Amino acid sequence: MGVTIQSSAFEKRRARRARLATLAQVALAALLALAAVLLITWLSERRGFRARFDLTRSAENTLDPVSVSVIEKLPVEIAIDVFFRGADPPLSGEVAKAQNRMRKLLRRAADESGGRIVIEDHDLSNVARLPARAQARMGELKITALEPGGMLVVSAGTRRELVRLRPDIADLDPGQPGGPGVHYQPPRTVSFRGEEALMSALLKVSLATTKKVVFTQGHGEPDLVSVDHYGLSLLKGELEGDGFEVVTWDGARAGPLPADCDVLVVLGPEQVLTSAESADVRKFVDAGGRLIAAPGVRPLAGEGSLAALLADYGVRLLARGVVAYPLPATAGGAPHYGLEECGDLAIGFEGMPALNPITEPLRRSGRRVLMRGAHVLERAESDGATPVSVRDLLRSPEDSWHELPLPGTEDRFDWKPENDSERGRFLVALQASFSPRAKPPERANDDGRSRPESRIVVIGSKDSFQNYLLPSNRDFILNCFNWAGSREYRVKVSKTNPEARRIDVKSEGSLARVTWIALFGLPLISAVLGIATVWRRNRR
Amino acid sequence: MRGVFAIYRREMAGLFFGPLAWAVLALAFCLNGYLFVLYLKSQAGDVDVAVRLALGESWAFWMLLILVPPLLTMRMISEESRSGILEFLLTAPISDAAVVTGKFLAATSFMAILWASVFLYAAVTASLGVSVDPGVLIGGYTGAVLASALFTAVGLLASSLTNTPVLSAFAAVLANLAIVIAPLLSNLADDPVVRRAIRHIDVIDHHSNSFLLGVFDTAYALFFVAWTALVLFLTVRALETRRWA
Repeated sequence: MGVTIQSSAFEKRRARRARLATLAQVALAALLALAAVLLITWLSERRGFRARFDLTRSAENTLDPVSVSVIEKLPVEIAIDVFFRGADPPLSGEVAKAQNRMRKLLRRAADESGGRIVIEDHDLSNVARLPARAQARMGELKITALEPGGMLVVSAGTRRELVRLRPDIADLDPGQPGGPGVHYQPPRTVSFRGEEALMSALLKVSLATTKKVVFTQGHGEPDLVSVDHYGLSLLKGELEGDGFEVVTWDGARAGPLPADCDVLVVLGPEQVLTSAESADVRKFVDAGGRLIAAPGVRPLAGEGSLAALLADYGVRLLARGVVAYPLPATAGGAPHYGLEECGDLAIGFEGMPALNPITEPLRRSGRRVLMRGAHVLERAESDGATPVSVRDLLRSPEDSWHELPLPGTEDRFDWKPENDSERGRFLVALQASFSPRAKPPERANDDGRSRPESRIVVIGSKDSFQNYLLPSNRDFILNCFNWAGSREYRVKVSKTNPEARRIDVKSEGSLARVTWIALFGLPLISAVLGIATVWRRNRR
Repeated sequence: MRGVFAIYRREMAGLFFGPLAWAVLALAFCLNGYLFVLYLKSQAGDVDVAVRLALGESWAFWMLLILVPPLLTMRMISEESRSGILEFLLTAPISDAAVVTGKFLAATSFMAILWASVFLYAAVTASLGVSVDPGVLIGGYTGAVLASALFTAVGLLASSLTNTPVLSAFAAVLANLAIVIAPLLSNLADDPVVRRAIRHIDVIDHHSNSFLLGVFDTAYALFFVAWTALVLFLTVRALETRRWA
């Protein structure tokens, strides 16, 4: 009896041990499986193990190749703190949409970076009681106030860059409230530049160097800080926003051209440069410098003039007259002549060369470049020993003519072509490049991207850079600066808003068809099939 | 593989020869259809956004995903265990993994049929001259099916842990709810490392930041596949424990 009880207890203990052992095995297997899942998901997010296919029609979820290249080359880990907050009506909806788009864009950038971009999205839904973490980060990043809409802070170590929702990321139009005699205009997103703003910030905080753009002053050039129609304040802002350092240079007062100049800009001089300035500019360009130039209203000729300077580099500037073309007809009528608007050029893809780093992105996106009072440019034999490669950038629309001033006047035109006027496409912007004629100076801050090449961009009209035309020409002008500054990796076009596909919900017929099929058709079919199945089963 | 197919066929027949599946389908189609029309109206007729909302950008989608898979899976193992059919299955010459996989595929197929209603909606809008972006449609549908697979697997696991179908459905709903809601609570965590870690297992985030945008990203697809595989593995183990319990 005693032996039986002992044996039974032993069996029980053995069975319990066996169950515990099996349980431990299962638990261990589950833990190992969990570890395997974590490893697989971690590995799948690594670069090289990951493939991404944008299935959308317009590839709207794909970062620009230039942006991908910027992210791939990030030398340091980047932290992006998102401090988005709401805005008051009427912009609240548009602000929320822009924030949503930006969040998705940030996610794509982070996915692309393989872990080198870390995003922290702070909850600012209650601005009066910010979470401790958000407050701490704001303190670390030295942010004292948050504007409606909020901002991103891109930082790498001690370097940081603020990217505001307005105007850096999105350009929002509050519209117009309706009222007696006032047509209601809803708020809208004019443009979304999130990708560009983000890349610019990434470059600023991650690259050790900033290209310096020097504008000549003191010869009647447009004012760089003036906010009026003809000023250049917008251009200055755009260049600084794109990562350039912008300064002015008045040779007569400040002495020689700054040695750290990367791009020299001679924009609309109405007086000749002094001989010292001319010599400085030539020395700079000959030694691999970059020049962007545009003639003034009445281009001068002779020693120290822009025309004389450009002639050395294979560019002839026709000093008199401007390019004009007939104002397009409306409703099938004849084109208009004799109007001042004939001097306003709108150059579309027909006037831009393909596969050119400056114009190709514009061609692809159907952008136009606007010019007013553009002067004709031509290729010329360069004076130097080094051959200069001159390429077209912009040609005026078909059927243009070269409008010359009325006899006895400097700048009055009748905007009517003479019978024997040459008609066609005139060259109004070009680019030139050549091997440096002198040894380039050693640059302490050279980031290795520069090529030993002198580059020149000549635009036939300074107006294209001025405040009143810059919003239309922004991408073209920035592309010119980026090409001139050897930043081809920055040459691009800001994306427009994705196209919305809508059905007319106000039309009773359209909505009724959708409603009928979605709400009744499909459920009814399921119900009928179900009843039929049950009925057949019961009959058997 | 033949075992998987046999179980799959049996489960599909079980689903579609009974009234429950049709009733669930009719109700779900009705709700989906009503919501789709509502989304169209609220989004001023934007068909892409309406499809996104129908396939994961709205709470209604996630509520369906929390509730429907447990209803489908609650009987699959627990009911069969109670009625003794499971013993026949487990003693049949097919592996436990094949049993679980067949049942899982059947339930996931049902969910795939449920979400396929958006293709019909897209066809209707296309007949009105406005076609949905194919990327959004295919991507959103793929993501919806992958997410459904995960929730279905959770339902099967719950079903394998108890002999009471209602209890299994209740447990699965709770588990699904936890999967959806837990990452949202990450905002309460102040530690960025914790928040980042939680985001790595955020199902909604993985669905809405790739598939719903019209993107097929292997990392996001693998996320769903790997977690689903883990839950199915646990289900197989749970089934195995019945042999020695």
